[in-house]
Amino acid sequence: MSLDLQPLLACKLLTLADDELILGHRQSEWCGHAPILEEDIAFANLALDELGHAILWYQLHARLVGENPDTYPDQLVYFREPFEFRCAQIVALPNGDWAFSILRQYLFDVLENVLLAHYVQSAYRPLADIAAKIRPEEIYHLRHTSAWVKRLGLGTEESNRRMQNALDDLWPYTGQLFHPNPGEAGLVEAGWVADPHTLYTAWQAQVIPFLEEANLTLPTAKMRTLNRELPSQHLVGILSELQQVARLDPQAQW
Amino acid sequence: MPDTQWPQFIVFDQPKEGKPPFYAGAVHAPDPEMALLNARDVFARRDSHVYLWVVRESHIFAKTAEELLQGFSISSEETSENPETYYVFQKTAHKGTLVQVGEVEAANPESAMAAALASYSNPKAIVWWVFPAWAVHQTHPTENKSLFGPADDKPYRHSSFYPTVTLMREINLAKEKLNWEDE
Amino acid sequence: MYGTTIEEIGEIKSNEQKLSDFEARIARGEKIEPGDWMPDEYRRQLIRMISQHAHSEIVGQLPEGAWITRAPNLRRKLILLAKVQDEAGHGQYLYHAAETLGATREEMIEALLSGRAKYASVFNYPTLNWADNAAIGYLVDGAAILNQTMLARCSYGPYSRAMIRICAEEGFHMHQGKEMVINYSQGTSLQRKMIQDAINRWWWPAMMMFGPHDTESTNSAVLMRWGIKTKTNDQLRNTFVNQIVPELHALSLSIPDPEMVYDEEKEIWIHGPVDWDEFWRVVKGDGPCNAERMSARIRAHEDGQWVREALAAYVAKYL
Repeated sequence: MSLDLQPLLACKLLTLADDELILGHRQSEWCGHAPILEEDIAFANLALDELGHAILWYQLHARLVGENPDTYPDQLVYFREPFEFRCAQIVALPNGDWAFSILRQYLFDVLENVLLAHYVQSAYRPLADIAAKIRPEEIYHLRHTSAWVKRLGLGTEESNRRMQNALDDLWPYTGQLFHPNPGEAGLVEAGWVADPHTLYTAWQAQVIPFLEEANLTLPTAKMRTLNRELPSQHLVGILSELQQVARLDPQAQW
Repeated sequence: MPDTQWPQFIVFDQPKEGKPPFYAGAVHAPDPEMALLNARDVFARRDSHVYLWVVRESHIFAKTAEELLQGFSISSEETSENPETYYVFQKTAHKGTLVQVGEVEAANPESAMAAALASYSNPKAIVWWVFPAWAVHQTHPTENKSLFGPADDKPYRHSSFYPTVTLMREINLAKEKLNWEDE
Repeated sequence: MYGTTIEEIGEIKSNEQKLSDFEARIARGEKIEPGDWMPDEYRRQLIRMISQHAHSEIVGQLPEGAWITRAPNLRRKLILLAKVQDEAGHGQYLYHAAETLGATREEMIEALLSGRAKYASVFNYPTLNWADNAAIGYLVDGAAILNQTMLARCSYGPYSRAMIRICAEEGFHMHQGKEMVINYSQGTSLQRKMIQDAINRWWWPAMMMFGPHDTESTNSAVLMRWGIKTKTNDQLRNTFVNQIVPELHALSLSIPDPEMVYDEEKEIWIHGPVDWDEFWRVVKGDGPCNAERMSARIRAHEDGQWVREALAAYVAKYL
C-alpha cells in the first residue's frame, strides 16, 4: 500500500524540486542586474530560498529511493540528462524583462502558497514537515511579488503594457503546473498530496481577481503542452551551463 | 519623469522584547510597504528581530549635541493641533548608534525636541532624534515567522560554518609528521 | 510652552577655532555625526571614499555573480548566492553613509556610470575558472577585511557603523574562500592546477587593493590626521603578506612573486616589487574588464528606469 505509493511520491517530488532548482537558476541571473539595488538583494533572497526548497525535496526523494540524502541531490542536479528532469516549461523560460520575471515569480508564488497550505496536512508525515518548514518563506515571497505585480500593473502605461505582454506570454504555460503526474491519483487518494484540480481552482480564484485589479486582461489563449517529460529547449541550455564545472571532474569534491 | 532611486526610509530594528529599537540604517523604496520588505531583506539576514520600523527620512528631526549649542527656535504661531506622540532616540556612546529612550507629547518637531531635551536630559547624549509615531510603519509580530524565521536556516552566512581552522591544523600536523619521519 | 522661542547663541567661532575643536574631538576618539561641523575637505574626502567603496561592492557582485549558475555543487551555490547578496547589502549600507554627508544616490550612481567615480580596480579582472571564486574569497576578501577592520574605527559615525556591520558579515566571505583553497589544494590534480592558476592571477590584484606605496599616496596624511585612516597602505599590505604566505606554503601552493624573500632576522616575508604601471592602467580604466563591468551596470540602470518610474507613478496616483 504505502510501499507502492513511495515510488510515485518520489517522482512527484522530482517535479517539485526541479521546478524550484530551475526557477532559482533564473532568479540568480538577476544578481547585479536588477532595476535597483534593493531588488538585487531581494532576488538573491528568493533564489536562496527556492534553492533551499529544492534541496529539501531532493533529500526526501533520496530517502524514498534508498539513496544518501547528503550526496544524492548533487548527483540528481549535476549528472542527470535534460530528458530526466521533470520541471515545468515555465520555470525554464528566459528572464525577459523585469515585468516577465516578476509576473512569473508571482504566478509560481501563488501556486506554492496554495500547494503548501494543503501539504502541511499531508498524511505522509515527512512531506508535511518539509511543507511546514518551507511555507513561511513562500508567504514572504508572495507578499513581495504581489506588491510588485500591483504596482507594475497600475503604475505607468509602459509598465502596464509590459505586464500585459508578460501575462500573454506566460499564461499558456500555467496549465502545465496543475497537470497530474502519472499515478498521482493514488497519492491524492491516500491523502499524501492535494488534488491538482483543487489546487488549480484555488490558484485561479486568487490569481484572476488580483490580475484584474492590477488592470491586466486575462488572455484567452489555449494552454500549451502539459506533459512534463518533454524537456524544453531552454532547459537544455540551462543545464549545460549549470552542470559545466561539476562535470569537469566527477570524482572531485567541490 | 526624472530618474529616481526612490525616497529614503530610515530603518529601526528591535532585536528582542524588552530591548529598545535602534537605528540600523536606511533603504530606498517608493512607499512604506516596499520599505518594510526591503528593510527585511537588507537588515534581517542575520541575528534576532522582533520588530522592524521604517520612517521616511524627511519626518525625522535631528540634532547633535554640538548643533544644540546653537539653539533652535520653536514657532510662536498659535497652533490648533493637538499634541501627538513623538518617539525620542538618543546616542550616548561614541561607538554606538541611536536607541529609543522614550516618547513625548508635542504639536510639532521643534517642541518635541525641546520636550525630549527636558524629559530625557543626559549629559552623555551626543545625538537626538524625534519623529511622530504616525510616521512609523512597522512589521506585525504575527508575520515574524515568515519575516525573520527563514534567516535561521541559513547557517552558511556565518564564519563558524567553515572548518578552516581544523582543516589547516590537520594539514600542518600531517606535514610535521612527515618532517619528523624524515629526520 | 509653544509660544516661546528658545535661543542659546553659541559663541561665534573662527574657522581656525572650529577646525582645531574638530581635530581635538577626533583626537579624543569622538565620532563626528551628521549635523556636526566638519571641514569641507573632510566631507569631500569621505564622500569620495565611501561612495567609491559602495561602488566597489556593487560592481563586485559581477565577477563572482557570473559563476552562481555554474557552482559545482548545491552547497557552493547557496554560499556564493549568499555572498553576492551580502555584497549588494554592503553597497547599500555604504551609499546610506555617503547620503548622510549630503550626496544623493542618483548623483553617486550617475558619477559611477559616467566614469567620473572610481571603484576598486580588483574587480576589473576576469573570473576565468571556478577556483577564481576561492582565490577571491581568500585573497580579495582577506585583504578587504584588513582594510575594513581599520575603517571600523573611522571618525565619521555613519561610516564607522556601516563598517562594523560589514566586518561582521565579511568573515564568512573569507572563510568560504579559504575552505575552497584548502580543499582544492589537497584535491584532484585538476583542482590543484585550477587553484594554483587562480592564485597566480589574483595575488597581485589583491596586493594592489591596499593602494599605492606610502611614498606615492597623496591622500594618506590628511586622512590619518582626521581619523579616517589609522594605518598606512604598506603597513596593511605587509600584514596581509605575512598572514597569507605561510598558509599558502603549508598548502603547497606557490605565490607568483619570484622576488619575495624571508628576512630571517625580523622573521617577516618581504614581497617583491609591485607592477605600478599595471595598477595605474587599470585604475584609469584600461583593465581587462573595465568596459564590460561598466556596460553591465549601465545596462541594468537604463533597463530599470521604467521600473523605478512605474513605482513612483503608482505612489503618486494611489498612495
